[in-house]
Amino acid sequence: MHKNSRSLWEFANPKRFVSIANKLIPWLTICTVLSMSVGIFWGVFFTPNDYRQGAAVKIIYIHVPSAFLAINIYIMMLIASVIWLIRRHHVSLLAAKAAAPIGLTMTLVAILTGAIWGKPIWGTYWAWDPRMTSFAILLMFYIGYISIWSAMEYNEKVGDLSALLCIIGSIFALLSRYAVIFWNQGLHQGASMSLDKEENISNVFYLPLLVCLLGFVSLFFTLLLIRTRTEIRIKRTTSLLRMN
Amino acid sequence: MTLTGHSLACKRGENLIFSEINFSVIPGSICFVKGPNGSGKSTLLRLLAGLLGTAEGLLTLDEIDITNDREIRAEKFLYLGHQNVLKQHLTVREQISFWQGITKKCYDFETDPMNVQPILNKKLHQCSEGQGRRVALARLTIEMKKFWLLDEPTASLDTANIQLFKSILEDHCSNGGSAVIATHDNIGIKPSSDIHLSLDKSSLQRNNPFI
Amino acid sequence: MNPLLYILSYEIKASTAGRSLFLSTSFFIIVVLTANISMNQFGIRADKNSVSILWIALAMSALLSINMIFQNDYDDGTLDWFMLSPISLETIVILKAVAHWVTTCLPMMLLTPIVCVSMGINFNSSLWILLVMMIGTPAISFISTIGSALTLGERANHLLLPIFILPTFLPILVFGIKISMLVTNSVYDSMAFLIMLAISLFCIAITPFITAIIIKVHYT
Repeated sequence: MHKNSRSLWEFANPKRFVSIANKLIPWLTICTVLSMSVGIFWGVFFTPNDYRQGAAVKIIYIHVPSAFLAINIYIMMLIASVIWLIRRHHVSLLAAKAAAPIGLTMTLVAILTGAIWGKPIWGTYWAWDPRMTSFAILLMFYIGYISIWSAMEYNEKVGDLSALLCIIGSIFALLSRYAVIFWNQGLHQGASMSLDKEENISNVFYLPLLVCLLGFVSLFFTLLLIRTRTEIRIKRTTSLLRMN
Repeated sequence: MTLTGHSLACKRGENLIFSEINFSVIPGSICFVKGPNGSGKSTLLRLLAGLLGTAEGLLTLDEIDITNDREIRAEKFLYLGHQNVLKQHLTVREQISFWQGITKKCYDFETDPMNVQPILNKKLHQCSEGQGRRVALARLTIEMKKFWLLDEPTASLDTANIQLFKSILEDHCSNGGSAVIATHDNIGIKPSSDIHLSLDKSSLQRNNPFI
Repeated sequence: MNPLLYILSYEIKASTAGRSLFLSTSFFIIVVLTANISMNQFGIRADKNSVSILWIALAMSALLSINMIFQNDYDDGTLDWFMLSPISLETIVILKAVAHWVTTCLPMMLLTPIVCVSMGINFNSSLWILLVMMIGTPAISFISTIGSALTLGERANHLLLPIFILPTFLPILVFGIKISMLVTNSVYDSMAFLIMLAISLFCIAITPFITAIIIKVHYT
């Protein structure tokens, strides 16, 4: 690559990536702390209670961003895996590997907050409504992806396998999701348990939610950069050790 | 038909197993792959067979590049590695008849070059290591390929059976076939050329993006 | 005879000779019986709706024999031989899946009408369930090849395989169980049948390519 050309693939060089990450991490941390605290404070203390749901609605400021991340992190992993398979950039693979536990945590947070929210509003912690089932399915594929990494040692072969698993997982996760939706909506009355938040929501709730969303996204990027940097350092250490 | 390797190299992950391997195998000749354990003899044979990709270099057959040609290799090469390619729960007879059926060629039970007649009705998991190897070597005489790529063909064979193997190898060469063999045993055949592999891995970590 | 048929019969012979056929069918019977017996002790009748046990047992016993699909071949060098043969790897995968279906799913399916009696399902419905299984199980066999290829050479991690293979059975299981339940209640939803057939065919269509790619990964 030409030395002065600035392209996305520059990040693919592990050393460049680490030096850029070092510069970015403090700023991202500040951004995360600021927007999360502002968003959650604003949302919890300075918005009115919902006329139907009361104060319980305020869990939305954690529930929606984490659910948003849970799905999008998997998509990010999918894209990173495809980049690894096509262009064979190690950083891309390591980023996918580093993102998976964050995604799993976000899925768990979304499910947990959903359960806490669901109890007072729907009267149950858990129902097999299509959207919740989708998250259960997502959880399984996150676990599958992480388990392949935990079971085998890092090498290019395992990288390929995990990337393929990620792609296979997304195909079957989608298939399962629509299989579930078919039975829940195709034959029965709609369960009508899931409110479509983004559409029904009024501006009073929407703005702090956006700030929270920003906070969660930058939290994800901070964690992702830190974790990828750690992975790169582990890889570098093992390579150096093996050389001597 | 002459098989020639031009500065072949093989990489596993970012590790370079070997590089700059040059050799030439003319019809009717045998080439031994020499080197200490772990120097990549098996890897070289797997690479020649086409089970591993070549990182650098060319493999040519009569000046035709076959580095990535799967079909020609399937037609001309026979690879026999450490494993015997035998199904443990089948009898020797079933195993041989499968090879005969799939290649549409016959094992010569009259002369019985690998002496499998006495164990024909045994199941393979009842056979000893050496007997299993004999059955595996019997496949060489069935498939009739031009190039044999053999990895430790005489492992766990006794002296008498090594003589049997030597005779089928000589038969093969006198019919214009050739062989690349990695072995520590003394088969009693003078190879026409050698490939030497060394344990020196000074260029091992070349191209590692993490360092 | 066609070399492909030769390989197929060789595969079936090699896997039935190893007695794994008997083991996976017995596993199926044992799971179904244990579930039925334990449920019936507490006044809960194992009724028509417990047909889901059948499907779970089927998926589990298919899982048990997944290791056999490629692992043995990998260990004894047959997979190397397949890689080098002029037959394409995708074809080999199809043959493997068919052999797996014949040796594990088919015997279990033949047992289904008998097992159904213990659940109080009448013979007519059990034939319908058999039809649903006929649609669903080939896909299960084909998907199994993915798992078998993924864990090649990972002998130590037996748990790894079910972790990522069971979730991929979900679409088939969801449809299979639901349709079987409807059938035992004399509801015949032809659209559901067709969609299940579509999912099954889709899985059968894509898996040989995926599995072949995964196997090639082990050879780079």
